[in-house]
Amino acid sequence: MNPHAGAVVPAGWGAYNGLWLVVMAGMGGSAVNLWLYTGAVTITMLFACCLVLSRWRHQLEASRYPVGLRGEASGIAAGGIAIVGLGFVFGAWFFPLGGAFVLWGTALVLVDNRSRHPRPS
Amino acid sequence: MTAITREPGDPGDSFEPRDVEPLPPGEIAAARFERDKGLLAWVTSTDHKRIGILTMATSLVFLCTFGILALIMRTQLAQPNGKVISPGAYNELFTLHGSGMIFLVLTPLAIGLCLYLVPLQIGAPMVAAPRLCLFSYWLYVAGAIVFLLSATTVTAPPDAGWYAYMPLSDGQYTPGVGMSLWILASMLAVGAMMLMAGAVLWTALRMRAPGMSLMRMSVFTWSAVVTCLMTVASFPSLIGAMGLQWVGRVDPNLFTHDSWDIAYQYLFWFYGHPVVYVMFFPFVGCVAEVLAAFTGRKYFGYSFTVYALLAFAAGSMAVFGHHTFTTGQTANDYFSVTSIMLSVPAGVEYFGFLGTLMGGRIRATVPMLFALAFIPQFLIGGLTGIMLATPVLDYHFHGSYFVVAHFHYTLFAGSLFGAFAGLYYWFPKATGIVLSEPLGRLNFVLMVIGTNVTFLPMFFYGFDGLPRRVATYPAGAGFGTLNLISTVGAFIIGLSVMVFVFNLARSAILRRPAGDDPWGAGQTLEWATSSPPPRFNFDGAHPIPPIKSHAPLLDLRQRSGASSG
Ligand code: HEM
Ligand SMILES: [Cu+2]
Repeated sequence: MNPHAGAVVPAGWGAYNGLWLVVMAGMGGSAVNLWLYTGAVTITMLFACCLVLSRWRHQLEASRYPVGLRGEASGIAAGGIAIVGLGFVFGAWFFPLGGAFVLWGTALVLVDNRSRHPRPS
Repeated sequence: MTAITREPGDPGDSFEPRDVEPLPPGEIAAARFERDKGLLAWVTSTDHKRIGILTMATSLVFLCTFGILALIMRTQLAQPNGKVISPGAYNELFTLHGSGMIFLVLTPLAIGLCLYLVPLQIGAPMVAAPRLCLFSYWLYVAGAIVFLLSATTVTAPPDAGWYAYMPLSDGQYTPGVGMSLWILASMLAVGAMMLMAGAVLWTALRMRAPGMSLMRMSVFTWSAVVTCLMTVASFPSLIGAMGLQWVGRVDPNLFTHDSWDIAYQYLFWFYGHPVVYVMFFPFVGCVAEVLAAFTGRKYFGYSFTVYALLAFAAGSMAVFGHHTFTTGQTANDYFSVTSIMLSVPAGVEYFGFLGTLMGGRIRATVPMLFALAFIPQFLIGGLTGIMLATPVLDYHFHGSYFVVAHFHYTLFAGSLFGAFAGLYYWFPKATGIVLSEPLGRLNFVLMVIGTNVTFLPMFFYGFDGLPRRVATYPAGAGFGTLNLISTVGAFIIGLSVMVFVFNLARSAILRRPAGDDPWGAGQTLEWATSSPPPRFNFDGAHPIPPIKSHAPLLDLRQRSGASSG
């Protein structure tokens, strides 16, 4: 099986979108239209690149990688982000509060990463 | 470098052959796998199955919530000169109903289903970024909470419609925190689903079991892949749109500049069109799998369908301008051509449905009934979409109930029916218990009647000129009878959902166990493992079967049938 097979999907899909992008340019799409569509094609292509790169990295690291089993971190960080967002509505004093939660969540993730679990098989 | 090992069930073609550093003894035991019982264990679990179920369950709660808002609207519209709620309240209701259904119900239901199923169907032990997925779930919940908060701001709940065009939604015409909270809520919920979709996409492309080549992935998994591609590529645009909206609320003059007056609409619909496909493709995948399972055949035209899905999804990125045909600022020719071209891959899809049905031995189980109803009902939504994609016609339809009828046929009569097909089909797998078939059939019959009685008349009074988003209409305009019929239908839908909830509750109490393959018809890998599957999906007792096609379990059945008979 081709090791990069997976990356072909977003790459091919992005390229196909690129084709429509060119047609759009030819048929008078406005500047905002073109920028938006270019952005989307770029994101897909970047996704494909990451897939390729991650494979090389993965071969080096073999199978021991953090599987991320500590779920608390996720909830705490998500709550933190929402609180930061509320700061834009209710005032800046939400920022430090939300920021603290985000940091707390991040810290938990780092701790979890250090105890690298074996991949389950 | 140490020995190369390769156990059966080893995750991922992309990991082969891999170097495994032997673990110090004891470390495996020390590695803290999760608690597994209790509420806290559920909501902090990084098991994709649990996150998927949580996401879907949360979205179903909101389906009921925002469905109740629809019933209030329909009560108001039942008769001319309705006085049940004020026009202002009506605006708030359709805004909360519409945006809630999209941001908090159907998108999370779609992506949550992908998260649940994709790793199982490709034989992966887990999702690629489990903490990220759980983070997404909680971001979605946070978004939902902020959304509800916005609804309860007594001073000014959001009331600018689900696409919240400027200048209606700016600081001058919609002052107050309600609208601002709504913006935050949509950013959180949409951002959450974008991350979750990214993880699912990564999983499907990188973590397939040995033998699971791309062209052996199930139709559902392919539908998930294209869904996630669209999500990753288009959802950032909504976050941009909402950011712009935010700036616009602080400084409304922003939108009087030539360069920005319509840019918000483009940013919004660059997300807004693909999202309707995100809310729909996974359910097409459900229908496809259910049709194949209950005709006992391999899905017809598999590779055509895969390419059609990819082309369909790409096309959906290039049609957003059809929402702005009537602004006079859009390249109508281009967007009309791309929109109408979508009927080609859609036709291929239907070809696959019908080809699978033809000559198959149809078993009319509840999931199959929902899948069968999906086919003509979604067709109505799709064909009226082609009418709307024709600019000359759209000048007439734009802003009328014809549009409301069209998108409810796609989202409700289409997507939600596909979703119910999937829910009934995979429920025993996910929970290990079975649902009642007779109650399911009652649910189905009521829902078919209710859906068509509600939404079919909308085409007619929309065509005759009843605008959408009006709180009432005068007597003598000829809209009364059909509107009353729509309202009756809406309550029949409500009844059918109550039957569904009752069915769930009853099963949860009776707990009649489901076997590994309760339908005796599963074709894809998830039916080879236990119900519910173990923490890492497959284990010694339930190894991954050999994968030779996109229907490995059907292959096995046919082979054993051939050798024994
Ligand atoms: C019980 C079933 C439902 C009924 C009776 C119903 C009814 C309605 C009504 C009366 C409106 C207001 C139309 C207007 O004044 O413009 C509306 C709008 C809308 N509905 Fe539904 N609906 C139902 C289910 C759904 C579902 C499942 C979705 C899925 C996404 C959905 C999405 C929308 C959207 C996007 C709008 C537009 C809101 C806006 O104009 O901003 N509805 N619906
Ligand atoms: Cu559209």
